[in-house]
Amino acid sequence: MKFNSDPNWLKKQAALEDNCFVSVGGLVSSVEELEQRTQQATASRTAFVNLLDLTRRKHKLTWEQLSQKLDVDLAELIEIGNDETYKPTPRTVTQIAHFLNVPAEKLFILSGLVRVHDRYFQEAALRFAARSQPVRELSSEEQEALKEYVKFLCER
Amino acid sequence: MRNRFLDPRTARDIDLQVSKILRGLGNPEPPIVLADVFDLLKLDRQYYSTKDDSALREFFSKAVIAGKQVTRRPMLLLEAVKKWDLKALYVPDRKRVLIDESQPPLKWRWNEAHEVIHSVTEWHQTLLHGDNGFSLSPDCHEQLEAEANFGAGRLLFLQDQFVEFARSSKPTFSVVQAANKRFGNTLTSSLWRLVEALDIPAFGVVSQHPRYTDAEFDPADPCKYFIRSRLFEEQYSGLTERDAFGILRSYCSWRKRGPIATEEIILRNDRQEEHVFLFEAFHNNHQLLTLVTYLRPHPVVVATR
Repeated sequence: MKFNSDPNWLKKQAALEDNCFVSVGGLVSSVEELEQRTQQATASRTAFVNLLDLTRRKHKLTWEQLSQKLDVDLAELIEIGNDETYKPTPRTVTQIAHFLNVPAEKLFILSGLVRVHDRYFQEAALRFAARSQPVRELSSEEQEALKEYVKFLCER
Repeated sequence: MRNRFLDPRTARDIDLQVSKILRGLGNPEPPIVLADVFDLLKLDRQYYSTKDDSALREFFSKAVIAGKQVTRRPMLLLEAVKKWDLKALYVPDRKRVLIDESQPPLKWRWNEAHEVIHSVTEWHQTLLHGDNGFSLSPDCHEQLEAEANFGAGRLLFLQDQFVEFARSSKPTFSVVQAANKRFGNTLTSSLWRLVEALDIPAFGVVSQHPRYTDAEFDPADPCKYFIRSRLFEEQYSGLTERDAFGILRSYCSWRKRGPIATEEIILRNDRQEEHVFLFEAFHNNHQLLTLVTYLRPHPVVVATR
């Protein structure tokens, strides 16, 4: 048996099944693959931001000092940190690579400017993204804010 | 396609590379001789024809990428040239620029200068040297092309020599024609550079003649190039390519060559204020070049009893 892998045909068949479990050949795996790719891109991007942030903290630099050191616009650095969809300029990625002392081509991949099919690279990025979130005790203000927010969520 | 202004630091770094080249050539007078640039940078030039691809095949069959002979990539490059109808490309390992010779020679200048900028910009080197599994995101690719175009313009129009030239007289289409003669580049690239260099609201359009469109004309995307000055981009952000082509359609005559229209027109900015612009259109036998430049505010008429 040969599966029909034409995406248009698959989408048409999926539409016919309207809100039911999609079982048409290949579509489920295509969707799964797409989800996996999106997860990989998000992990790479998180790894990129965390790598920059941890190195900044290691050097005890504020974002403003870092922007001066990198000769990069402060607003762009803030965008990189806050907006996962923001694409830094190739020059900025090169400047960051010099600062981090890592090969620029690797950082281009992490930043999302370049795509690469390298499972080990993506897995390493995912592991780093997961491990590099800070685990430190909450301050009393943070504890209070968390408690209040959980209470609010429970009451709604 | 719209012009894109680069962030100041990227523009500065590329401009520094252009300055180095011009200094290396003893700050020449226009028009710049690109053969001298290639000699200075020790770049090699080779011409190919997309109609007869034997030269390309031979070159790619011997291509060595990142120090190793790659059997698959040469054919990928050949396919890329055909698929994307590339007019020129830079092959880093060989320091060689390949130019499509079926293009008119005056267009080679732009393509050659564009590839020169790829060859001297640090991050372009990194990205162009990428290995086989490497593919640029569309945004990144577009950004690199915009950067190479910016640098090509700065090189071919000798940086601020053109800015001074453009700003020293009234910005009319005659400046585009004068720049075309003085700097030895195409009318299209002269129009593009003039609009970007102006410190007033202005835009340029390269399109088909609105009275004589052919089968390739796409009403949804009617302008080949839509070039806006910085101030126009900031103050008239609502004006689209389709609006611009609508203006062309309203004012262009049925003449087929040379000057097609010269009119004063009124445009409304983002704050809904009306301003008067000079509209000039010129047909160069291939395409219509339009320049629209700011003149003055349009007086507000208040009715009184």
